[in-house]
Amino acid sequence: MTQRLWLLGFIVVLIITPALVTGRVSLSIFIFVGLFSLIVIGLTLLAGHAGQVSLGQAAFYGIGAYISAITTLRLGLPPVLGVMLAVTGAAFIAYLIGAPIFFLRGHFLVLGTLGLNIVVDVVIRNVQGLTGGPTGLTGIPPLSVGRTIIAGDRAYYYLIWTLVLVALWLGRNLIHSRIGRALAAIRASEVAAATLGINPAFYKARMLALSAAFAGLAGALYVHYLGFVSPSPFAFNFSIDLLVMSVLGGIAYLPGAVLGTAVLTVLREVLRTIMPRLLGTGASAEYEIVVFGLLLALVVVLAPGGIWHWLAAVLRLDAGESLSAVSPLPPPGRRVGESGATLLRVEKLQKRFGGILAVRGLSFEVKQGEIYAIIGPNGAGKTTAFNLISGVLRPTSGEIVLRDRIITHLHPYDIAGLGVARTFQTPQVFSDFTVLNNVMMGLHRSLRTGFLGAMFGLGRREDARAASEAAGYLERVGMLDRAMDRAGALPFGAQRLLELSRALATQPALLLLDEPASGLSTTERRELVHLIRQIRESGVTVLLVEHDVSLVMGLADRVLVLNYGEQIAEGTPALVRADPRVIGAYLGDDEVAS
Amino acid sequence: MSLSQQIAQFIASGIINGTIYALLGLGLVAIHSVTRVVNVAQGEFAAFGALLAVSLMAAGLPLPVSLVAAVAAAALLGGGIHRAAIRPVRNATPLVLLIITIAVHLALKGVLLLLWGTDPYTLRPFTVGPPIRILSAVLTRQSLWVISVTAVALIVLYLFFTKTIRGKSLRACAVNPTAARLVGIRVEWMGTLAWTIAGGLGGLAGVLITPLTLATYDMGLILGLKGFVGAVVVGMASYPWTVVACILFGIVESLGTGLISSNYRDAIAFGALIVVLLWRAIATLRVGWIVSEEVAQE
Amino acid sequence: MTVLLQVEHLAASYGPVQAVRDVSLTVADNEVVAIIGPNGAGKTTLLSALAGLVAAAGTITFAGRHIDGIAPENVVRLGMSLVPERRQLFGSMSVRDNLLLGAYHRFGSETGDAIEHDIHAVLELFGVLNGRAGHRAGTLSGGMQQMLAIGRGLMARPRLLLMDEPLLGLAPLVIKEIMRTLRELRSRGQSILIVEQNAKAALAIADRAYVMEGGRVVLAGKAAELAEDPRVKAAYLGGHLEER
Repeated sequence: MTQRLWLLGFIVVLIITPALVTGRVSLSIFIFVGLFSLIVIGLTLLAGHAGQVSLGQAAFYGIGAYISAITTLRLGLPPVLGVMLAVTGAAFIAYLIGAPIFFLRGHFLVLGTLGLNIVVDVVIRNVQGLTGGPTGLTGIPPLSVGRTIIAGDRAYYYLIWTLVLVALWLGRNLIHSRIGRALAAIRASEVAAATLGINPAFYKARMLALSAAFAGLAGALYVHYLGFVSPSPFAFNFSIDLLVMSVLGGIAYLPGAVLGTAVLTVLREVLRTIMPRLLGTGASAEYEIVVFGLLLALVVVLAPGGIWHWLAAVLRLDAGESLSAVSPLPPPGRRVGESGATLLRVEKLQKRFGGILAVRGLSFEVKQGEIYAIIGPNGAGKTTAFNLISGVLRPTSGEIVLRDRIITHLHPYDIAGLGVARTFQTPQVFSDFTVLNNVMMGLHRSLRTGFLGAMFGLGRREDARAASEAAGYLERVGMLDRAMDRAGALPFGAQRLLELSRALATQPALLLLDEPASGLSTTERRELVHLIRQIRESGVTVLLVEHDVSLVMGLADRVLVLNYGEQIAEGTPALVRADPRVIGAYLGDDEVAS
Repeated sequence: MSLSQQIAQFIASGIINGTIYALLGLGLVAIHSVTRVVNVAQGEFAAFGALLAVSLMAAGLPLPVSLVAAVAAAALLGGGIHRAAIRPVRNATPLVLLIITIAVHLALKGVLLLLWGTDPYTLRPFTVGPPIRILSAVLTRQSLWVISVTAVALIVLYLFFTKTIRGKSLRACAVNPTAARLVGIRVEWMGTLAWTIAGGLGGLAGVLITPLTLATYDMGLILGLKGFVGAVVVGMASYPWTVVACILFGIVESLGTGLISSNYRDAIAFGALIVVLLWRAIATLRVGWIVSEEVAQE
Repeated sequence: MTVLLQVEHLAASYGPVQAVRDVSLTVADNEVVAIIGPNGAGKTTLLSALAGLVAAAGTITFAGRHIDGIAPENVVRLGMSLVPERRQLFGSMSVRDNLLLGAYHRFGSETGDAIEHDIHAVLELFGVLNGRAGHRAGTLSGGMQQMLAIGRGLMARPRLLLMDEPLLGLAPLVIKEIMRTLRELRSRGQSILIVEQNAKAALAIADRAYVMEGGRVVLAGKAAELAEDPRVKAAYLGGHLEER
């Protein structure tokens, strides 16, 4: 509730500011804070939520500015159209560059965007015929809607700040939507997100495009406000400033975007006016660079959440998760599949790591509706085999076929999309999510709301239903009472169960369990066996890897024994257990001990 | 000049520039491989070395002393930054570490501005004399200094990394930090050493290039970025290949600038960076989804 | 028999799992002690705790000194060297360099010649490595990599050599070779604490052994006696020794 009050207060301040501002202080500084806030909101969404740092937002700002300037000035298009072209143009270019780059990790985007910034800067300065070169373009028409011309500081002030509020609203909707959850999942564990059907590169690229759209919008507004444009505001130094604004305010918080921008812009003005007086020199006060650098370092180290985070704690704005009652929906019933048909076929699978052949010539079939277990001593290649089947690793050679579709070289998110779910040796739960939200990530693929829908808050009803479904899955494993707990705080056995529940929520045809019993107590193991039997009853085929031989013996229909990356026995549990080669594999050969 | 002579000239100057980029690229690789940080402030070591050398000369010190002192100071600066800014937050996420190097970049640039202002400075060439003709290209004596000093530096580095235990232990930290600890290597100090080497290499680049172009307080970022292009092309992993890539990059930049337009110099350079990044991205797609396979081993 | 290593009520976690709950053991000079048990019993976490790689509660006394909380870089200086699970070699560096680095902590206090001498000795001990000194470690086969890892551990001249699952994923013939080497080391008086899943091999080489399950020691005694004990087989193939 307090948060709403503060927001209201903020809006009131926004509304009355132009009336208060007279004399020395011009309204233009507030207008620029608003413009920059638009850009930084996009950057915060990109860097704080998608975890991707861009040092090229000034380029998109500039691209938007010039597109709008050129189309309105030279082509005579109405400014509103110019603005729309600016937004889409900036987004498009960002997507073009971003989509492939996101298949790389980490720092490549930073430098790619920085490079883009420099390229854009140089091009703008040199394609003089189009852009007016270093001197720029003048006479850009102000914004107009039909006959009404929008001119003057006040008009632009209100327009821009209205748009900032809209941007905050859109951003907030996005964060609380299915898309926002996917982004947070990608940040928490890309591998887990991928095996739930999420394509990280796709999401990151779209976020880059979104952030570019915001920057492009700011650029277009800028040129129509000022009436002229030149290359200097779009240099890469400004991209660095924008990042500083975001970090200062708090890179993970939308209100921080506005706060950080305001603080930095005001600070810069203060430094520009005061420093020359203090230091008695006439030199331009670019001492701000040092100050910004030190400030950035201090904030990152001492208050990593940024000013907003600190402020929110001081003002006790933490709202906490709203615990509205969620009524669980029972999960869908038994699916009917052709029992006995081959669901998964693995043929001569090999995986080499340098000089080591971790998996060699592995071939087996898993039939629909069965529980198939792979056992073998440590180092036998079991988890590697799982990683190959789920697409997390690429085989050196061999084939993997699901029903009649070759999935050998597919990405993990595509394989997940075909009905394969998995758990990991160490549970990859999204620690900062609630238990319920974790399971909802399992439902992610079955929901429909896209980026645009999410931004406008259109996914609410779908989300509510999804929450009920997720609750149903939790109830089935007996964890409904912990739905609102933070996943990372759960005891180990519960985390395992949560991961399992999440995998089931994807409604897979084939469930891969990677050492599901490891770390569990005897009672928990018994419950696990019971649960796996139930899962099989509901029509899911289970392929599991385990060390606990007795657990497997009581559960599996068929067992495959691996040693040194290749299979040494296959058959029913009883048969396998008595096989001397199997006993030798586990306990060691008699021959060796001599 | 005939076209082929022009091209030879462009290639020659491309090699010279590429050599400078290589010094910076090597520093970036050293820092990244040992401390897993992308050092946005790498170029500032060059700017610092250059400006300090100018001041020392102006204060009356002989040229060789000024040069050596400037490079040494840059090296110390590198090590100092590691201990002051990086080591305390070594467990932070790569994003935070990157932002810290951005902060360091800003702070250093600001300090350079405070101390030296916005003016460009120049250093006289190490030896004076007429330019020398090699094959079809004409090279200034300073260019030859750049090549030969860098060559010596590279040989020293090579010997260091392959023949000395200290150098090998530095490599070991980059290859497997856990195993390095187990044999008794103090990994944190190796990080400082890597940063010190990077600082020295940066400073060396700065003093070498100043007689050819001017030194300013803000020359660092672009230089560092160009070094980064070469380093990232080869995956920030191999020292020798980084040198090759940087030199090739210098040649491409020079040819592009000479044959197309000098105004587009930086655009060509960074356009090339973007192309390389996209190419690597597509190559990665074919290899596999998890790039570091060792991590995924059972 | 002087006690070299004494561990009392050790507890340690591997990520979120309490892998070692309460383990006490001793290793004496000139002794080979094995810790066997099924996977997931906490054996690797135990060795990691001894080497200082993971935090642990409890007391660890080595050569009379309390070493709880000491960093790994210092553990080797005190005389305890770990041959880690899955080798952890410097893959892109040569066999020779891997061995050289194994002696890292000796540089400065010993001559280069002494270390060179040891490199020769190790290459002799592991016949197959001889002649491959210049090869990159990552290109070696699994067995050779394991031998190199053991060799690297020996280069530190440890009073106690810790070995984490050295026979992991190796072919029987290779295991034979490594066993031969271990016997050789044993006859030279090297104290070894070996963690191994392969019970038969481990018990054949050790003087004494502990059986771990679920983070605790469930059996202990002379290796020869445990080799005949049916409870050991049960611990591996089902029928838990201890209800948790």
